[in-house]
Amino acid sequence: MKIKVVKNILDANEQMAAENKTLFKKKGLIAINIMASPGAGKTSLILRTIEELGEPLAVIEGDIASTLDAEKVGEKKVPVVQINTDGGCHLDAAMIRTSLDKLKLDGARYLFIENVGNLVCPAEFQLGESERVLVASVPEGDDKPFKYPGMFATVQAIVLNKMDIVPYIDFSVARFMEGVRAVNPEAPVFQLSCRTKEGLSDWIDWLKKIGS
Amino acid sequence: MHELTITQNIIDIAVSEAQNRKIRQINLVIGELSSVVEDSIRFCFDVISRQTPAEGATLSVTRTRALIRCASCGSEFGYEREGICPECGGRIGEVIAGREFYMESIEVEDWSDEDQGSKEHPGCQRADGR
Repeated sequence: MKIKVVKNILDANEQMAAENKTLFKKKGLIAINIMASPGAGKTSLILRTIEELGEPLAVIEGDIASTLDAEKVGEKKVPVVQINTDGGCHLDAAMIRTSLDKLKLDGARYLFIENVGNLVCPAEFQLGESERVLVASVPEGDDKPFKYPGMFATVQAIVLNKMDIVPYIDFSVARFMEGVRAVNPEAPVFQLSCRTKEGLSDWIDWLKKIGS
Repeated sequence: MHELTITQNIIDIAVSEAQNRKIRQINLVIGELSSVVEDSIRFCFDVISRQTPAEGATLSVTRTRALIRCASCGSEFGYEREGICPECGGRIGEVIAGREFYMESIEVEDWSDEDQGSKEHPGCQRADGR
């Protein structure tokens, strides 16, 4: 006997994500899920954003191991909690729910969630975020949107980091943009350098716009 | 990396839908762009379905293709050509399919089969515990 099911396999996570979304809304929080491959500059972007945004914010740091990133963020005197996934390749909605209890939000307007460095799995797991942001960096190569279309298709904004080293490597911004636009017609792409701060203001303006 | 959790979800959903009947087949739909490794799921399934009503069930997987809609002319096409529209050469598009990952249906042994006792169902768990 055949029984029709039609149920998303990640349904349990998505239900929890929906609860998180309601909770964020109640607390007046704009939650931003920051995803990237390891070393693209997720933490650097968060640190620069803390310096430049001028709005109260909190941070959830997701890593397989260590508290290095949470320590860096903690030095900036913002509320931060570290999640260690112990080998897990992504954050999920339940981890966010649990970590919220440990986070002193102190009237934060923005919640930055730094996902585990990985261009594959985090794309599948909703956290309840308002916006999904992908950080790509030029040393990774201009072909990444073509190789990871699943990730590039699901984000509301893309940060292209380390633009200051473009003159020294073979990276075509045009080629990168072709790959992005093939699967994502609208997401703004912010070309910047967290090291020199060049281009950072457009990213900050976008954050302010979504927060207003 | 997360196929073990996913496979546990698959078994949980199937067992819940089957309501104590033995599961013969689970029909999944996996999109080309979803980051799910079918072989890993099959491997995990054999191990963690043991001693559940899903033990021995066939895992049937339908793969769906990625589908891009051209922003210029509206044509829909696959991702083989790096997202370039075969109709108008447009390079701006939107993913409209290929990320799905769901359980379409399951096939279970009928209540009537069990009531008549006409067949052996070694893995069958009766609702009344007999």
